Amino acid sequence: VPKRTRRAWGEDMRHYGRQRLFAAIVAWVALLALAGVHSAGAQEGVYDTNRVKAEFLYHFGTYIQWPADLIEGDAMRIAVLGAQPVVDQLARFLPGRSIQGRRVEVVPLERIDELGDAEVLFVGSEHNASLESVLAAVGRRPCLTVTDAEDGLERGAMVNFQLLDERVRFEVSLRRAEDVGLIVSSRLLSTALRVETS
Amino acid sequence: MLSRIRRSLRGKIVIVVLLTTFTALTLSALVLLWFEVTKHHEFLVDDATTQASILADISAPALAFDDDEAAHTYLELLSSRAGIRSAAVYRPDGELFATFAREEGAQFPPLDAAGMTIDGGILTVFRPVVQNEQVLGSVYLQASYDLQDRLLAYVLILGGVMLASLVVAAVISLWLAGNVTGPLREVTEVARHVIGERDFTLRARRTTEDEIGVFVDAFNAMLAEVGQRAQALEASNRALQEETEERRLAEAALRLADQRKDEFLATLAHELRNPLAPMVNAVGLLDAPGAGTAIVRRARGILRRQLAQMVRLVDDLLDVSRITRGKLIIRKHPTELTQIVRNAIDTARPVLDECQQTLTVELPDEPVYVEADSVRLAQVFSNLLNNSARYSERGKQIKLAARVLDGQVEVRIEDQGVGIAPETLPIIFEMFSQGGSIERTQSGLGVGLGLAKRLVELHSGTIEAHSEGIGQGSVFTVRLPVVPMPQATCTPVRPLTMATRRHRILLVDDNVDFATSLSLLLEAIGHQVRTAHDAAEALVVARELKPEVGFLDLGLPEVSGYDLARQLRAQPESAHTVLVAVSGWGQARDRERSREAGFSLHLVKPVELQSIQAALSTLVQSH
Repeated sequence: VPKRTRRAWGEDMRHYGRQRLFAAIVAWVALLALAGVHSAGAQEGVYDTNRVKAEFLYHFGTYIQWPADLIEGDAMRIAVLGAQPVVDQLARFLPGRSIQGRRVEVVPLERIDELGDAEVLFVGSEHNASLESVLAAVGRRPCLTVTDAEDGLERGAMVNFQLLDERVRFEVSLRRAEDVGLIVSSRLLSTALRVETS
Repeated sequence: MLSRIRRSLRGKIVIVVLLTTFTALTLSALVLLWFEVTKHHEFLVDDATTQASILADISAPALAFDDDEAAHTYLELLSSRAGIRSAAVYRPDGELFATFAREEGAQFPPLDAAGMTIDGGILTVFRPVVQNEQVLGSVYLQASYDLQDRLLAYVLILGGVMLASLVVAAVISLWLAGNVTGPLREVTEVARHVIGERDFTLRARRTTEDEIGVFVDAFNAMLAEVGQRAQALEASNRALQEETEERRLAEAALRLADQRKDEFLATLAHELRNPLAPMVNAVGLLDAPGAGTAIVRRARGILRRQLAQMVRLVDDLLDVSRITRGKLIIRKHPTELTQIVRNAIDTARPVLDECQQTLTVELPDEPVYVEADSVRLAQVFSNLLNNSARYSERGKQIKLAARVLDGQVEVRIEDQGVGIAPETLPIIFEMFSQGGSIERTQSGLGVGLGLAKRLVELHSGTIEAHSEGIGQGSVFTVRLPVVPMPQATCTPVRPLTMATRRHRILLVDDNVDFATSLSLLLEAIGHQVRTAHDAAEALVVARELKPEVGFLDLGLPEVSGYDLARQLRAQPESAHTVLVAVSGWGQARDRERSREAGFSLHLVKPVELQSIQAALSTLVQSH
C-alpha cells in the first residue's frame, strides 16, 4: 500500500499531464458508463438535492488532505449519520470511483460513536437538534464534518450545505478544519458560498 | 552600363560583395522564416493547449460543485488573452456549463472528442476535465491561429532588413573597393603617363601596407630600373654622338691642316724661288765683262737684300719647326726694351726702305726693362714691322709706339695698309694663314705672325690684332710684363768687340761661303783662323796650326764630323783642341752623340758670331 504523503500528492498532480492519454481513455469509458447510468436510473433534467449532496461529499475528498499518519487501510470512508437518501445516492454513485487512487466507501451510521476513523462525516438534517453533541463526539479527530443545517457552521461544523436558488451550495470553516490538521484546497474554497477563516 | 561595371575592378568588387550579402541574407532569412514558422506554430499550439489545460484544471472544482458562476469567472480571465476568441466549459453530457466570447454572437460547436484542429486561421482545442479518473466535463477553446499574418510581417521585416543591408553593403563595398582600387588606379595612371611621356622619374604613391603596397613598391623599383637603363642607353648614345662629332671636327681640322700644308708648300717654293731670280741676275751683272763699280755695287745690294730675305725666311721656318716640336729655347734676362726695339727696327729697315715707307717711333723716356731673350723679342717686333711694310702700299706711314701701363709695357705697331677682314681676324695668328686677297709677291710664308704670337707667349705676354676692316689699316699690340731695373751691370747684348786674347781657330765646313764669311769675321776681331772644307784637309791644317779651338760641321761629306773629331784627337797636334760641334740638328740625341765623340760644345746652325765669341771665352778659359 503506497503511503500517501503531501509530497507524493504534489508529484501525482504533476504527473497528471503524462497520464493524459490514459486519463482521456478512462474519461471516455467513464463518460459512456455515466451516460448509461444516467439514462437508466435518474430522471432526465430533475435536480435531486440528495444526489448533489452525495456527489459533493465525494468531491470534497479531492480537495481535502488528511494528515498522512492517519491514513490506514485502502479505502476512504464517508460516514453518514442519518440521511438515508444521501446514503442511497452515495451507494449508487461511489462504485467504480476513487479519490487519489483510493476506493471510496459510504458508511451509514446508526450512532455517532460508530464513526471510527472515517475521513468524512455527514450529519443528516434529522440530527440538527443534537448537532453540538454529535460534533463534540467527533472531537478533534481529523474528520471533515459536514452538516446540513441553517447555522451548521456556527454550531461547529467544518462544512455546511445551504440551498441557494434551489441549488445546493456549501460554506466552509477553514479554521475548524485546520484545527484538526486538515488541509483544504483553495480551489474548494473558491467555489464555496462562504468561507470562515480565523 | 553593366559591361562597364564588369570591366572595372571596383564594379566587380561591389557586385561580389552585394551578391555575397544577398545570398547570405536570403539564406539566413529563409532559415529564420522556417524557424519562426515552426516556433510560432509550436508556440500557438502550446499556448492554446496550455490555456486549455489550465482552464480544465481550474474548472474542475466548478464542475464538481456545480458552480457555473465560478466557471464563468475563470473563463472571463481569458479576456486578457488577445489570442483567445472564445472559450466554453461543457458538462459531460454536452450541455454548455459556462461560456466566454470576445465577440457577440459567437457560436459554440457541439461537444467533440479531445484534440486540436487548425482551420482557416482558427485553432480549436477540446479538452476533457478529468478528476480522480472521472470526466467532469470538457473545456473548449478557440484561438486565432495568426501564422500567416506573422509570416507576412516577418517577410516584410526581413525584406526591409535585406534592402537596408544591401544598401549599407553597397556603400561599404564602394568605400572598400575605393580603398582597394584607389591605389591600383593611381598605379595605372602612373603607368599610362610613363608610357605616354616616357618619363621614368614618375613614381606611384604607396598608401597601403597590403599586397597593393608591395605591388606599388615593385612597380616603382621596376620604373627606377627601366629609367636607369633608358638613361644609360641615352648617355651612351649621346657619348657616341659626341665622339662622332669630335671625330668629324678632328677630321675637318686635319683636312684643313693638310690643305694649309699644301698651300704652305706652294708658298714656300714660291717664296724661296722669288729671291733667286734677282740673285741670278745680280750674279750675271757681276760676271758681265766691264761691269762698272756702280753696277757691282747695285748687284751686291741686290744679292744682300735677297739673301737677307732668304735667310729670314729659312730662319722663320726653322723657328717654326722648333716651336712646333717644343725645342725653341729662350734665354731670358732683364733687358732694356728700347734696345730690343732698335735692333728690330734695324733688322726691318731694309724692307721699310725698299717699300719707301716712313716709320715713326715713340718710345718712353725712362728705360723699361722686360724679362726677355733680346734676339727673340726683337724678332717679334721686326716680324710685325715687316708685316706692316709688306701689307702696306708704298709711301705709307707706319707708327711704332711704346708706353708703360699698369705694370705692363704696350708696344703698338700701326699701319695704313690693306687691313684685315673681320672674318680673318680671329685666325690671323695661326700658322700658315695669310690674308687671302694679298698678292703673292707681297706675301710671306704666313708664319711671321704665328711665330710672333708664340714668342710673345713665351715671354708671358699677349699680342692682339685690330683692324676696322679691309683697307682700313691694322694695329698690332704687344703687351709684356715690366720688371725692375737689374742691379748688376749685365749687358744683354754683347757688343762686337775685339777679342781679349788671340786664339788659333780651325773652322771645318763644307759650305765654303759660311766657312769663309765666319773666318773673315773671326779674323776681324783678332783671331788666327784657318778653314778646311773636308776631313782630310782639316787634319792637314790641324797639324800645321795646332788649333786651340776647332769648329766642326758634323754634316761633312765622306767622313762625318764625329769621325773627324776622333781623328783630330788621335794626332798629337790637335789632341787637346777644344772641339765645338756645329750642326743643323740640335736634339738631345744629337747633343749626346757629339759629346760622346769628344765635342765640348754643340752649337746649332745658324751659328752667330756672338755665340762663337761666348763659346771661345768660356771654353778656352776653362782649359
